[in-house]
Amino acid sequence: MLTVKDLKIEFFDHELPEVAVKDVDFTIENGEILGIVGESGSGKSMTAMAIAGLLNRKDMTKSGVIDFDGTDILNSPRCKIREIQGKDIGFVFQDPLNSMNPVLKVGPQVEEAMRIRKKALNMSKEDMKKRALEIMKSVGLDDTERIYQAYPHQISGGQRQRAMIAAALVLKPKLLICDEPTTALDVTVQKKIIDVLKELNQKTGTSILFISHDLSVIKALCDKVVVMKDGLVVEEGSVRDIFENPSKEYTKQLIF
Amino acid sequence: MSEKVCEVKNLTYMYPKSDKGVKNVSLYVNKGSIVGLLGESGCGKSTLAKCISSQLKADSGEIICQKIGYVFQDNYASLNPSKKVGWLLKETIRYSNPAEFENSDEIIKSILEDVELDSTVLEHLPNELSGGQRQRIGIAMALLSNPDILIADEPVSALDVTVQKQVIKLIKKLNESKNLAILFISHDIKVVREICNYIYIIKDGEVVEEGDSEDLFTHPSTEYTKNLLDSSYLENINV
Amino acid sequence: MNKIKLNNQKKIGLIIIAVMIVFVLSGFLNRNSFDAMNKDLILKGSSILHPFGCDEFGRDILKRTQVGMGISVAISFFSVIIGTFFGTLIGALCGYFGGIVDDFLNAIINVLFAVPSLLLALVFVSLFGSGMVQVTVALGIAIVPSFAKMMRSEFKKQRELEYVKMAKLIKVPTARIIFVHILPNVLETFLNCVFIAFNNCILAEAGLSFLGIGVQPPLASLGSLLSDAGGYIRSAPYMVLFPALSLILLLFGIGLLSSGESFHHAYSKRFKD
Repeated sequence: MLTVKDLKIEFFDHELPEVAVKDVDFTIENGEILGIVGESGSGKSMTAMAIAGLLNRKDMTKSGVIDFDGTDILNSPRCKIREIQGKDIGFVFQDPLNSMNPVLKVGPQVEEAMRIRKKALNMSKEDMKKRALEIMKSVGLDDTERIYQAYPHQISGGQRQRAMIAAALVLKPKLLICDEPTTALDVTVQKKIIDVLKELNQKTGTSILFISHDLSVIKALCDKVVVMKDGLVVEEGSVRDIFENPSKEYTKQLIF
Repeated sequence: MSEKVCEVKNLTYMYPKSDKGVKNVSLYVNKGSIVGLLGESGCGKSTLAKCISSQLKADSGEIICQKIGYVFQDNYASLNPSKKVGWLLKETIRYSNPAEFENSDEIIKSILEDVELDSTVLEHLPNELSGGQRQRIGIAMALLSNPDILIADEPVSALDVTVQKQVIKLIKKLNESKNLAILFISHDIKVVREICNYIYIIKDGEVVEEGDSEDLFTHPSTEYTKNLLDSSYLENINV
Repeated sequence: MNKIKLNNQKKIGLIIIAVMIVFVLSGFLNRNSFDAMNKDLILKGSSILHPFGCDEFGRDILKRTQVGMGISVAISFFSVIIGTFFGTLIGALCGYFGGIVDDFLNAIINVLFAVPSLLLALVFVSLFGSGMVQVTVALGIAIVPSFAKMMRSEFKKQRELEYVKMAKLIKVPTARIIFVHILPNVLETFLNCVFIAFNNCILAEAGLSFLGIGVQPPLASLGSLLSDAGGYIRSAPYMVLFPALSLILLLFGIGLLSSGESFHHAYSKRFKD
C-alpha cells in the first residue's frame, strides 16, 4: 500500500548541497509494522516527513517515488496531500510536550482532524466528542473525561503521548507514522505505548511506520526493519533475520 | 574491605513546597568500583548527585566524600559555547588545580590522550565538535582536578548508540587505568548493566533495591525492579 | 573564533555609517566657521562656497550640520556607554544572583521605568542646568532600566545552563563567571540593545535640543538645527532638508547594522564521530 522508491532528498541551505536521504526503497503492506532504525543524522526522520508530505521547504529537492494507495505524494498538489494528511496518514512526533499546543485543552486537539473536515464527515459536536473519548479509551487512557478537559501540562508524558496517538488515529488512518514516539519517555511507559500500538495494529489492521534509534524496541514491535546510516539504507529484511544474522558490521554495532 | 571514597548516610533533601526529593538514602562507593544509580525520570537520582557534589545543600544526613569530578548530561550546555576547548581546559586547571597551572600545556596533552582525543580539538569551539567529542571533553574537564571519584550524571543518554559504546569503553578504561571510583547515574538499564559493578535502584527518592550487578538482574527481588527489567526488552539483546 | 558574518543589510549599514563618519570628519577641512555670522548671506540658498546654504544669521549650514552631527553622535555615544555599563551591571547582578538582590535592584528599575525618560531628562536638566554633560548623563540614566531588564532575563537564562554550574564547581570567582564566562554568550542581545539604545539616544537628544534644553547656542546639534530651521520651513526649506536628511540617513544606517541575522555565529560546521 505504501511504496517508496529511489527516494532522494537534498538540501541547499548551505553553500554545498547536502544529501539527507539517498536511494531509499521499501514497501509497507496492509497491516504491517515497518521499523526504521538509525542514529541521529541518518535521514530516518526525513524519510518519514517526506512520506507524510510534510517537507515543503523551498531550499530542497525531492526525487523518486512515494506511492501511497495510488497517490503520488511527492508530486501531488498541496490540497490533495492535505486531504490525505490526518485522514489516511496519522503522524506522531517524538516530543509529546512540544507537539501539543500548550494553551488548548487536550480534547479539542484530539478532535482537530475531525473538526477541519466537519462538513465532509457530517459530524456534530457531540459526535466528535463521543468519537474522541472512544479513541482515547482505545489507546489505553483511563479517566478520559478528565483528560479531555485537561491542558497538556496537567497530564503525564505517557498520557500526552497516548493522547497524540489518539489524535493521529481519530479518523482511522491506513498508515500511522511514529517518529521516535517513546524516546522521551521512561522505559515502563515506553512498554505500555508499544503494547498499545501492537494491540491497535492487530485490532484495526492499521499499518505502522515506526522510527526509532533503539533496536530492542523495534524488535519488540515490528515485522520488518530498515537500517539506515548517513541517508543510505544499510540493511533491510524481516526483524528475525536481521537480529539473528546481521550481515553488516554497522547493524551489529547497533545491537547493544 | 577496600577503602571507601564516598559515603552517604541517611541523606534527605526535599525540594521546597513539594514532596519530591531524596529521602533517607544511604550508599557508599569503594575505591576503584563503578556504582550505578538507576531510576526513571523524576526519581531523585540527579538530586542525589547534586547533593553529593554540594550543588544542593542537604536537609539532613552525612556526606563523606573525597575529591569529586562531575560530568554533566547535556554536552551542549555543559561547555561554554563561546570559548575554545583549549581555553576551557586551561580555565579548569587555573581554578581547580592552581598549583599545576604552569605545566598546563603538558597536563592538557596527557589528559587528551587519556580521553582519546587529538590536540586539534583545542582550537575548536564546542559546537564544532560531535556529541561524543564534547562528552570526552566534559570528562577531561572533570579529570583535570585529579578526582578520587567521578560523578557522571547521565553521561551517555544524549548520545547515539555506537557513540555510547565508545564513551562507556572510555569510562571503563579510566576506571581501570587510574583506579578511579565512578558513580554512574542513568535511566538506561542496558548501559548500567554494561558498566556497573554495584547498583542502587531508586524510586521516588528512596533506594528500593541494591546489589551486585549480575545478581540484581538475574534475581530481582522487588516488584518495581522486575517491572523495570520487563519493560526494557532485555531479552531482545544478545550481549 | 567567532566569525562576524555580514549580510547585505549590515554591509549597506556599514557603508552608510562610514560615509557619515567621513562627512563629519570632513568638517575639519571646511574653512567656514560654524558660528561666524554674515549679514550678506542671510537665508541664502546653495552656492559653491556654501553647498547646503546659509541660515537666518548667515551661518554655513554644511559646517553646522557637520558639527551638529558630531556633537549628537558624541552625546549619544557617551550616554550609551554610561547606560550600557550600569544597565549591564545591574541586569547581570539581578539575573545571576536572583533572590533578594534581584528584588531590590528590580524595584529600583521598575521605579525608573515608571518615569518617562524625557521627563527624567527634563528634571535632571532643570536641577543641574542645561548643557552637553547634563544631557549626556540624563540620557544615560534613561537607558539603564530597559537595558537592565534585557540583560536580566538573558543572565537568568544562562545561569541555569550547565556550563555555569561547571564553572561554579571548579570554583571560578563569581565576577569572572559573570563577565568572562557568561557575557560573551549574551553578546548578541547586548549588541542589539546597544544599537537600539544608540538610536533612541540620537532621537531623544534631537528632541531635547528641539525643546531648547539640550546643546546651547551657538553650538549646534542635529536637534537644535532642526528646531531653528522649523520657523523658516516655507522661505528656506533647505535649512530643514539637509540636517533632517543626514539625521535620517544616520538612523537608517544604524538600523540596518542592527537588523537581520545575528552577529555571533558560533554555529558552523559540525564534525562526525
